[in-house]
Amino acid sequence: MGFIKGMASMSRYRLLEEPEGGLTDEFVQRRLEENAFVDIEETSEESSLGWVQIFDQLSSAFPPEDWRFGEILAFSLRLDERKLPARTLSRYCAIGEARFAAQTGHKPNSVKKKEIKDALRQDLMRRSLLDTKLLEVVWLAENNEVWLGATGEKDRALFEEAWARTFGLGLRLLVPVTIGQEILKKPLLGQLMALRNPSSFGESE
Amino acid sequence: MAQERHVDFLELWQEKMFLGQEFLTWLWLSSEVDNKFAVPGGTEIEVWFENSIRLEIGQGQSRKSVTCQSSGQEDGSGWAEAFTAVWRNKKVSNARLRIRSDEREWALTLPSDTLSPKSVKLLAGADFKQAESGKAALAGALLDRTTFLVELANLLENLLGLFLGLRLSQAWETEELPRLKGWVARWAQEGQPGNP
Repeated sequence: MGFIKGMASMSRYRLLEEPEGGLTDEFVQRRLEENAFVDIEETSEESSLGWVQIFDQLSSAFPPEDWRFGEILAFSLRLDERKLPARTLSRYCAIGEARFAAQTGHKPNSVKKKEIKDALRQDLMRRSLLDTKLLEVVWLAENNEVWLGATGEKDRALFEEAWARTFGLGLRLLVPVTIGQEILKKPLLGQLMALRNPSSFGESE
Repeated sequence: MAQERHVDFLELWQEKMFLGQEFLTWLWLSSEVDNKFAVPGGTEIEVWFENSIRLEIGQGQSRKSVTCQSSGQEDGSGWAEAFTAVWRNKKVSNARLRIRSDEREWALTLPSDTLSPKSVKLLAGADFKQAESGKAALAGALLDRTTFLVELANLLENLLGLFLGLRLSQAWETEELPRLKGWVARWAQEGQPGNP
């Protein structure tokens, strides 16, 4: 859901600072490549988070023509995750421990139990399916504004962490009060900051 | 530094969280009374709320909410339950609404905490079409959609600016709030619209 197809949703952020050397293609490309998505399909890693092209979730190469569209910069954040239910792991551990006992004639001690558990976790992780999430990001360079194509709190946190790690540039979420700070002039701005008491539209509280 | 800045932002957001609910409540009641909003620059914006509004009161564990469905009558009587909720001091926390300005018309969902538009559809004024495959077509769709969404963001900012201008003026307590309260009271107590 987002900026290319389907219904659009967006969280708006104000960019609070520019890169030291200005917003160059080299800066963006290098940072995207350094924080590109790494495929974990053939591994037992639990999750991987990184950038991919906005039009091709399988590509982590970032030549400017694939993310710069005039004054708009666009790319996607990809999260691949595999989850192993605790009940599944504990069932396999019980089987592993029983097999060990049958082979050796004694129950595994705590060190051996941990060894069995770690090996099983790795094996099961490698065999479990990955779930992929894509979050589209649009950077309006002329407006110093960045949009995330999602509005959920978890998605915002994921994006904010990845943005900070990748670009190191401060962002501030645009919410009613921060939009107000941007559009109001003195003296209304001071009055907004001093406003403490909500109004009631109904019978007196 | 960045962490301090973030903490300051969260404190400010929390402290002024009521602004979004007041804005949506004002926007809904005003749209029922006036329907049209004149914003600076001579632009006229039409707003109407669609079939579902969530209203809330309180915070955290003491929060109570109700979701009201409109029964569709054009005179506003379809919102009787929602008017009663406002009369009992609940405020709008989430709503599906339509906005029209010039030839464009949008449908969107707005939560009061962020005013981040969700499930946005462009209903008229341009083709918010599905992108075809092919990089050039996809890039064209991205640029078109971004332009339309910038327009929508500007309209929402204009409406919020109109509200804040009123909210921070003396006329809020002496004219605007009594006007809307009176209207809500007549709905809640008499089941019919009064003179705004």
